[in-house]
Amino acid sequence: MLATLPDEAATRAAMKATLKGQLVAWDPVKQEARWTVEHPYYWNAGVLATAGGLVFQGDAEGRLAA
Amino acid sequence: MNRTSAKLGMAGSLLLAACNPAPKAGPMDAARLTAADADTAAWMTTGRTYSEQRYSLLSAINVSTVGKLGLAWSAEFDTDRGQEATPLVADGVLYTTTAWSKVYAFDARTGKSLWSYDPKVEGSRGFSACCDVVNRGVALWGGKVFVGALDGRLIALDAKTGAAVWSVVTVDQSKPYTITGAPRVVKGKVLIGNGGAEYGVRGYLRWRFSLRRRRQGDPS
Repeated sequence: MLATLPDEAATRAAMKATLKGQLVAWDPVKQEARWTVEHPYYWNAGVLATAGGLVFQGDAEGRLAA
Repeated sequence: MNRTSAKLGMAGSLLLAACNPAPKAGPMDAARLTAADADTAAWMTTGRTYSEQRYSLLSAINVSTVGKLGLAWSAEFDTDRGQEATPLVADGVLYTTTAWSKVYAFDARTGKSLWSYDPKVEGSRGFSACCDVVNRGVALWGGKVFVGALDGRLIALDAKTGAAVWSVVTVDQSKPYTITGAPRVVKGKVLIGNGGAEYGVRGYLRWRFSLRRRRQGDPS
């Protein structure tokens, strides 16, 4: 992804500072987030939801969380 | 992404595989995939079911018990490049892919390696991939495992041995097409797409439609 950033160093630094990740549980009826989990990096894994009431997700730092 | 992500993906599938005994075994077919939602011991297609919900009906692992989960086994791959596969589990076997479109089969309970397959994608193909030489996984059908290789080949492997059964080039390999997606199989047809638009490929032009001409009464 970094290959798509501009060459100029200051611009790159400013852009990278804005990059983050977030897991959002979205209520499609109310059109609002029920809860969110912040991630320091943006390239995180897809999620698995279960009938056990859990959501599993791997993150960019190599951790698996439920 | 890094190699630990792939381990996590495998661990996630292990949670599922460990909960129920394997049901009927045998080659994958339309009946099994259509009923995938009821087969809680398996994860037979990349989104688990044809509806691609990625939702597990298993409930033994829940808010009360999840804290007891621990590592059952792990396996080291031979590449640290991006790992993005969703492992499949069927009949006690875990199938997954790594960077460079390599395919692996493990005993889901023990982690014992059953076979692996390397399509030997040329390293220069890495230049054609925008976002690393990743692969998102395989499809199962009729005793075969299907993988889309980064260089545009669609390859069928014997699910028991990992031996290549057939291979078809699905793209114009003179252009920077890539395949990173997991195939799907519907009614015996293997479906695969490709990427490359960011490097100028545009698929195949079959027809062109002009809104302006149509407005002026010209149907061409």
